[in-house]
Amino acid sequence: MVSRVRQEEARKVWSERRIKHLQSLAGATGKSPAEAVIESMGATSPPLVEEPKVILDYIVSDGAQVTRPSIDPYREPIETHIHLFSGKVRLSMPFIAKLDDLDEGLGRAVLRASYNLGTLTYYRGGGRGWLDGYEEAVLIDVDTASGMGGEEARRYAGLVVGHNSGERIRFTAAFGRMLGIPVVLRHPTSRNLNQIIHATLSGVSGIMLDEDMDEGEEDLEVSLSEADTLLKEKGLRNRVSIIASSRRVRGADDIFKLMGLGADAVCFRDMVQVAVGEGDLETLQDRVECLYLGLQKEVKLLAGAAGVSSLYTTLIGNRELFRAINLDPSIRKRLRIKPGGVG
Amino acid sequence: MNPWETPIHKSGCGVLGILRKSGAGKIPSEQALTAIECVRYRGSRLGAGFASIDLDRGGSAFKVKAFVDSMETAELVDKLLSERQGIRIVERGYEDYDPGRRFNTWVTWVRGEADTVSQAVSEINQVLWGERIRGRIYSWGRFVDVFKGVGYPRDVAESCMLAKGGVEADLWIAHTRQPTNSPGIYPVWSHPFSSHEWAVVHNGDISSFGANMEFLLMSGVRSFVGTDSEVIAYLLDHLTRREGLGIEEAAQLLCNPYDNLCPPHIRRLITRYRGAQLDGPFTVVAGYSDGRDVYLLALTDRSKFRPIVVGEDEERFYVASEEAQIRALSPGARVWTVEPGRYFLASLRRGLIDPGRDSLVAAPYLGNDGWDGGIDAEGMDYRRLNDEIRRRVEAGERRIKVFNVRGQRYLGVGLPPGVKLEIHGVPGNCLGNFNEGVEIEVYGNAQDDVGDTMHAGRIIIHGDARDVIGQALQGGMILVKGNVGNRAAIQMREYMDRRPYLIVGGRADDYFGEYMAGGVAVILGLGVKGEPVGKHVATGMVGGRIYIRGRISEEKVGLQPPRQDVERYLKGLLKEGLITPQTYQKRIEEGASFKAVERHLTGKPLKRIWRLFENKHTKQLEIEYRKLTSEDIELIKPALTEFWKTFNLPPNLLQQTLNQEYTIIHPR
Repeated sequence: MVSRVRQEEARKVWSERRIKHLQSLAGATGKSPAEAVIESMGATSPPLVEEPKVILDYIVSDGAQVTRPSIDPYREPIETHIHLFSGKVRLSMPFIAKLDDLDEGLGRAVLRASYNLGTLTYYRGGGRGWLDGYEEAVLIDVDTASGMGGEEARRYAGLVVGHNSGERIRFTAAFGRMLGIPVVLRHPTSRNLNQIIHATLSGVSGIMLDEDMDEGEEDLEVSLSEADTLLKEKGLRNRVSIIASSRRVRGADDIFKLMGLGADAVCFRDMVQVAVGEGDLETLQDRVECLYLGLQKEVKLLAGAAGVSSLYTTLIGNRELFRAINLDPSIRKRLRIKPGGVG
Repeated sequence: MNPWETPIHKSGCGVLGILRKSGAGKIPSEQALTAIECVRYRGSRLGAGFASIDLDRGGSAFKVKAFVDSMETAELVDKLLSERQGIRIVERGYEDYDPGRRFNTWVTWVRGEADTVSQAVSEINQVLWGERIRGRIYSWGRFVDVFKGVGYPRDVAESCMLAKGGVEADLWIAHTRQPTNSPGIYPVWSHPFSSHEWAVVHNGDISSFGANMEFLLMSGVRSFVGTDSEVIAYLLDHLTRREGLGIEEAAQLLCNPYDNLCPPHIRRLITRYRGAQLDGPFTVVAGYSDGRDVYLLALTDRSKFRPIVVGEDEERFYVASEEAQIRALSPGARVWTVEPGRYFLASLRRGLIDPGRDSLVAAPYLGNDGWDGGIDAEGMDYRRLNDEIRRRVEAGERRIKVFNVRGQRYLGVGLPPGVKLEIHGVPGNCLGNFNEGVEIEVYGNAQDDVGDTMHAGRIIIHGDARDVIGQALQGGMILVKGNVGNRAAIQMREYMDRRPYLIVGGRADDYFGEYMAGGVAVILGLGVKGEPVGKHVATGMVGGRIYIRGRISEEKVGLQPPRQDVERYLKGLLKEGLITPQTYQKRIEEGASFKAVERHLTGKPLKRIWRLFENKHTKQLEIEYRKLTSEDIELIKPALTEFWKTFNLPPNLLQQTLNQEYTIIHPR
């Protein structure tokens, strides 16, 4: 059952400020496409000024200080690439776009932009003909891949299998292993995460925790953090990649924080739709590319501010870089984040 | 306390490592003390320590050393160890006992398997580390011994009997601590940190700390005192003992090489052991023994945010925060620096294993004799020496010679224009800062931060200089006969007729001319094999000119996107039919620099891919490779002529040098 609270939240996360900001990154408005907006000291953001809407809003980056200098991402390298599936796939930035039910024009634009910029998409729509030539940038759902032979399957970045049938997961994992194709388990944000342990042991390469699935019971933040912790406790964490997925992912800050809670990559959808507006394929592709490059710069600024020069080695699951402000202690403990003010 | 919620305590400090060579005598502890006390000002009274490794220590029993707050805690440690299956206690007792101290060291000698002892130590530490700190097992090696406490190195050495007539060993590491946002009130937070046969001292503050703790928790480590330095010892022990990695593999993993410079097998290891990499500032000095050999390892971070120098003489290897520490023990040692993101490794039996740089370059030692009535700085505190120089200037002296200089800081700062200061030895950090017209000549090497914010005058260095030389240099001239370290010539600037010059005879490491806004910086690369400069030359440059003799890779200039990203975008352009397969191929062959992109693309495809390279906060750079024009010669010849005259180089070599081709970098 989908939590009503979460559905409610998902609608209200899109403040006007957010939308305008994304549109200016994409170049749909304003004069500086693909440029991060640099703001002054002080915050206009939640939880202290704006009302916090989701758990992520209660989490702040602890930031660098005197002995651990911040890194200027415009003059020094900050690596945003990540390696997924035991190094089989390299993403230049930790972004995955859900193509699902985007209309075809936007879908194509997102797909091309994702390919060009070395990121991935996730697709579980109807026909797959339009993916032709860009399969390398697609994690394809086995529902969409039905009837696909091994040779065609190998062109894709990976296969995504649903959580409902253990038999199907094992079969797909074995199929993937045979062909050398990464297999990702798509799992709801449920309380019981034992299935991800079983799936990991049966050889899947990734876990996509998808808040948009009907069976979700928990907020993505909590489920993600607990999945990361559980896999660590079992000593399995470095065997699988975790993809945090939700339509409510709003920007670089959400992506950065979700990575801190254990996500190797973040899958989103509405953010792209909100940012790019309308236009022909070329215009839309252009805007998606600008959006991604702008988000990448923002992620670099956030990492730099925390003294982090590599997202892959340093940010993922690094809760020490974060503090929670006014967050319900029971949730905070499940996230394993210290309260603000603790050294 | 919940191990997932351990508070953190960080530090920034002075470090030291000494290893004897095969055939050389053992190293007395008082020499480690001399060399770490040499940089006493880098630390504070809040923590110091030493660790020794000695192969002749027997090696049949583990020496488990614990800080305990009471006899009850000692009994508890004893009980928990003796109850453990597979562990047999051989001997126990206080190492020394002072009722006035909050913690004393309780020693238990035990026999057993390393993994069993390791697990017992981890569990005992969890018990001791509760709401109230009852104590801590801080070392448990067969060859390693750790001595640490609260105080300056001398205080700790005296209380641990390491000062006069102390202990001898094959290797010593030492530390003086400057805690910045942590308590230093108890010895549990002092360095070295040790796990099994590893002992580690650290200067820095790593941003990867949380990721490292998560990795260790995943690997079964459950108790932390909460400093980032401690996790480094655990990581090295875990990777070598539990995972069976070689020391060099573990070192590379921790150093965390940039992805584009990472050998494939190390990239695989990074994926497998993700969370074991260090990020943020660190200089780590570690000692290790596998029972057959003794190793001295030093790591530095990719940005090289902390100082490190390495030395070698006939008898020993050295690692230190400052060159003066090495010279204090070995005046004639060959001294060099580690490249950013690299490691240094030597062993007792195998000698130098990795010098920490591709081409080992070190200026010859110039000696220190010829004292002729100047100031003898031997043993002088830096404040006293500066006072003495100032006193002489006030008395009217205009030419002052100082001999036996060893690490005294701030020399030449605040002196009036027209004074000439001649330095024999190794001046300490911040030489000639804010110089307004003093001439400083150094017969030897200089340390970090020479000529910071210098407005006028001249600094001449007959040897090498280290990091950040000429930062915010805005007038006058700095001539270095040898090499310079990381971030030389950063933020140089000029104003009207004030144009500063930095001339480097040898080579430079990374970030040469970063944020440069004016002036002229020249790298001559005389006698240097290969390209005489490191990575990220001129990033963020907005003005001035850089001349580097010979051709340097275009990919080294400025900050450019990873090659894989550029290649992927080109593939995309190819798919969209915007470039031809021929263009694609040609571009791939010529590398991923913006210059290569510009050479082969025009119009729309160029405009598209250009997005990967541009941002509105930095200027695009121009890189030219060519002979000098008359304007160039007019700009640099006077300074080069000075260089030639000062260092007494053959005049015909100057003309030859001016006739050669240069890589010239300036903003567009």
